Amino acid sequence: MSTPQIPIRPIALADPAARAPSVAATPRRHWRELVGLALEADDLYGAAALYPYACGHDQERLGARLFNTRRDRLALATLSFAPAAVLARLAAVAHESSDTTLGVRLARNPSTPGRALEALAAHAGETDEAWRLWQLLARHANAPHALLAAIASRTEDLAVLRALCENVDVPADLLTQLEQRGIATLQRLLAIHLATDEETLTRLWNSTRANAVRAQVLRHPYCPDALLRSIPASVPEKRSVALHARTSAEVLTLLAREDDATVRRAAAVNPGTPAGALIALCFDAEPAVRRAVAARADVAPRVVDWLAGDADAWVRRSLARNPACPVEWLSRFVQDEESGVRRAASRHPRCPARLLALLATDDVAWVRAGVAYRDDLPRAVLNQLARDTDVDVLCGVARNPATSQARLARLAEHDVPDVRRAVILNRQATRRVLLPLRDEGYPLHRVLVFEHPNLTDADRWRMRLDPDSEARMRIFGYFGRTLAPQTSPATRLAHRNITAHDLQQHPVHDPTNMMEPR
Amino acid sequence: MSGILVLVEHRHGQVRPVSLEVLGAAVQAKEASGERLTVAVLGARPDAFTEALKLAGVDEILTVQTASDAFDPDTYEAVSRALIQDRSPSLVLLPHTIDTLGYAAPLAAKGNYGFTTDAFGLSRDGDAWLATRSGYGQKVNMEIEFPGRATVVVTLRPGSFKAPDAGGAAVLGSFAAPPVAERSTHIEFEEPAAGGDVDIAGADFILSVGRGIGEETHVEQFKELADAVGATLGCSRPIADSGWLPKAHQVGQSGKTAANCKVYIAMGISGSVQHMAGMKHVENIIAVNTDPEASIFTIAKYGIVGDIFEIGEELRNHF
Amino acid sequence: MKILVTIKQVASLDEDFELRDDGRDVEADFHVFDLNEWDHYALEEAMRLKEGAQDAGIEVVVATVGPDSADEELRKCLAKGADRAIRIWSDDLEGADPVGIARVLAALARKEAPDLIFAGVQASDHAYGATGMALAGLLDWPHAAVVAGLDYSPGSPCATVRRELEGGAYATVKVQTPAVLTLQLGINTPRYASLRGIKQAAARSIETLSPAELGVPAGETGAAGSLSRVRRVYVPELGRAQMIDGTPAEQAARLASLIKEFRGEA
Repeated sequence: MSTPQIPIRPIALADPAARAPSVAATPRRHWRELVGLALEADDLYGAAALYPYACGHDQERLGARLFNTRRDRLALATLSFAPAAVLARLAAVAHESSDTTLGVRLARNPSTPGRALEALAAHAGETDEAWRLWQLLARHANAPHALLAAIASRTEDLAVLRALCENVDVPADLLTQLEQRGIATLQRLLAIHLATDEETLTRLWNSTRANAVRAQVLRHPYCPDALLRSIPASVPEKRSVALHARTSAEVLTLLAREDDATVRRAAAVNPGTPAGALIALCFDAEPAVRRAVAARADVAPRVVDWLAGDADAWVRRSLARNPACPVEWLSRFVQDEESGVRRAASRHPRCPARLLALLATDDVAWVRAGVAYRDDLPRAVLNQLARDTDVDVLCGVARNPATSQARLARLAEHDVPDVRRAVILNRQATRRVLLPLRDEGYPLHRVLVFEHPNLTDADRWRMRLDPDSEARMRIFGYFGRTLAPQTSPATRLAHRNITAHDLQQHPVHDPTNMMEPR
Repeated sequence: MSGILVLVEHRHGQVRPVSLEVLGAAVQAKEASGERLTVAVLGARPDAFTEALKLAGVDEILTVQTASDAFDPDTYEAVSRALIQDRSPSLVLLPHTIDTLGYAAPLAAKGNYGFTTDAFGLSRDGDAWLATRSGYGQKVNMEIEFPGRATVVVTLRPGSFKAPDAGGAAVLGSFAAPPVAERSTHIEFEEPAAGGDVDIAGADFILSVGRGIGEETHVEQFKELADAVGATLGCSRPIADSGWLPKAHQVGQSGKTAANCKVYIAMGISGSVQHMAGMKHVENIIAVNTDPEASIFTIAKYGIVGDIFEIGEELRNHF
Repeated sequence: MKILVTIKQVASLDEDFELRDDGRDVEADFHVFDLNEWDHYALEEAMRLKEGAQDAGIEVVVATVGPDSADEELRKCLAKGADRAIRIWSDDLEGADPVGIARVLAALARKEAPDLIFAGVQASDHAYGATGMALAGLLDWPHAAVVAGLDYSPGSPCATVRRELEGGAYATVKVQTPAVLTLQLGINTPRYASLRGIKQAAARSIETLSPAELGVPAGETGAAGSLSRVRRVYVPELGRAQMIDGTPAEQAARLASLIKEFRGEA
């Protein structure tokens, strides 16, 4: 099952020209009410959420609320889930009020958009404190390439140069320029950076004797072929070659016979290592090597045969879960004395129904839970698991798309919040099951209910008075997107396209402190 | 009158190492002020502890006969107050521990002595003592002074000072404990629970994974790594919600608090407020994340900016 | 029966802050306020006793020393079911240290005459761990710190507490009542306030008192009633994490040696 990501169901905005005036009035009335609530609230979050969607007088009033006091500006600048439009405006305010601390907070905020970063750079100045700003700008993921190049050209500061080399979005040509400056402490970072090109890597290789840097060059996706053709001297370098996707079968065969177990393990992991070389690795004295063989996507039935009886439980565990492991072997693994192996079998994609039924009666709850989280369960097995008392098993049942609504409704009243949350995360849960969960004490749960695709907008509208400020921010953000009055057909079209585009790009919406940030 | 007074903490028949650290601080203080250093130890058989206190710089060791070896706040307060009244020390040093949390503040409040806690630095300004401690969750240092207080009581942060070497020429003596109206009674000790299945609350070493993990099969990889390094595997909420690890492994506001953890390795966890709520108190946090500005780095002791799979794979090679 | 729960509005700091011109504190604009983490547990323990003894009729009173902004934290407690909320303040209290605060709370306690007083072990901002026990000392009441488990029947002359010691051990102690106890994280599982509770709390009144009204003489409040003073505040050089540099192989090698070092000592 994939990571839970519940997209907001896009609201189809009917063409206002075709709408009857009374229907069109409701969104307008709702918008007015939201703006009013945002302005009355003690906290900033509602106003911040609506700001990007407001225009004219509304935006002025919201802006006055947001940017009036220094305390509020500083607080907004730290919110990683503040909308880009708010952060952009704050960058301008930082300049107008000569507030360098505000500028630094903005440069640190991962959500600050590129144009705001450019504004901060333009007004930064050359004071001693400015170095912190430059370093933050240099490592910012949203910094436009031109800005990064400008920073590179005007600085000798090692901390700023390092920050540039660590910035994942720095382009290859800038990395090449940085390498040409010949600064030893940047070598490692350049060898690590995924965008460093083949020519630059070759120069790095030639300019250093350090095994660590060379080993890193040998790991790099753009490592020159020439360097991968021979077996290097040091163990870290050998390991790198053994892991590389372009290393030849011949070299891998040799590396599979190396003295050092970590090199043999690397060869065991590499998909390019030929079957012949793997045979010896099946019987390697070092369990870590055998475990790597057992986890291979191309594990041959013969190899499974040899490894199925391995004394090491992790070898058996890796096999039991491996989709390439033939189903016939699972009957043996479901009887394994180690619960981890039995659990692994329960997660095998083609584990047959007969064996799942057996695992559903396992003594160990975690094994039963492995069965409960499967979408392909026979009804009888699911019903049996629903009578379980273990929380992990019940969470699996609550998440299971095949669980009946009646059962979900009962699970929605469970004492343990994890079980109730699992019901909320179930995409099949109907409105009827979800509505009582709007009153959950835990704000995170209320937000998850709000975002469930099976709620209607009327249901959601009733949640606008949430007492938790972060929950209200997400709720207002949703309504801001969908209710903001459009000033022109062009803007309306642009907003509609942005909405759909946003949903495709960011199916998980703006994070808050309740959710895990990206 | 002047002097430096230390009261010793012991448990199960042993002087606790943190008390020896306090003696180290006391010796440093003595070098700054030239005052005499007196150490007092309370107990049913206090003589049993005197050998361990014969350290370089200690001038006097006082045994105080009390009803029991077990800690009692009223007893320690009454004896401390009597010693202070008798000797008028300028400085009283105690460790910042669970026991002193129970008696140092009442002692200072009743006696109107200068008072602060959890100091990791001590210095002298003319005739006065200054203490340095943390503020705002260790984001700032605070320099504390005690204007007009002839006697100052300070509890010291464990691990901040080194114990003195053995030796010295301490004079042994005794001190009569005042009568104590005991209003609490020690019943028994309970030792920590041994082992157990998966126990985030009890684990001293935890390796936790977050969303950076990507897929369920990768969890197995990190479970194997945790086993190899001897850690209990923990996770952030999204992992537990997906059923990839049991709820008992979830660390954070809606999960468990890593209450006894000494070492916490956070891999691919950015550090949401709700996750950090479960682990930010851990003394040794090592965070691995590709984002150098991830919040987790603000509470970590060590940080690695890197890919958790690469680091994990390399780490595996060492165990 | 009455339980008094003393709470604190704590201030935390985000990255990048400024110090006040006088250097004795951080500039006020950078304070981010919240209810002290420990206080959720202290309040929950009071509510647990209240709900477990319906006949005995326990009143739970929450009190704090703080300016207007602290009302927000009192309302969080009312929303969870506390019966009454009291806030005490005068501008003199600005310079008070934990003992200065405890003096004011002691005056309140004498007025309210509770049977038990709960406080958190410490506050999440400066972690002195002193206010609760200083209060006990000023009242000269029986007391116990770092309570991780409480066994008490309303009206009983004593309570049995489980103190959490270093290293995961515990000490069981019997304490005479009335008593002051500081409660540790994990003693219970704090509830979330219901939506209805939060809405109701918004409308409740909070009794506001000055120290003078509680009989604390002017010369005994604030800095005058304190046993310490902050001379200056500064940002330490090594603030954040010590970053381990190098290639992933080198970083992992350092991590491995750290692990082995820690394990060796475990």
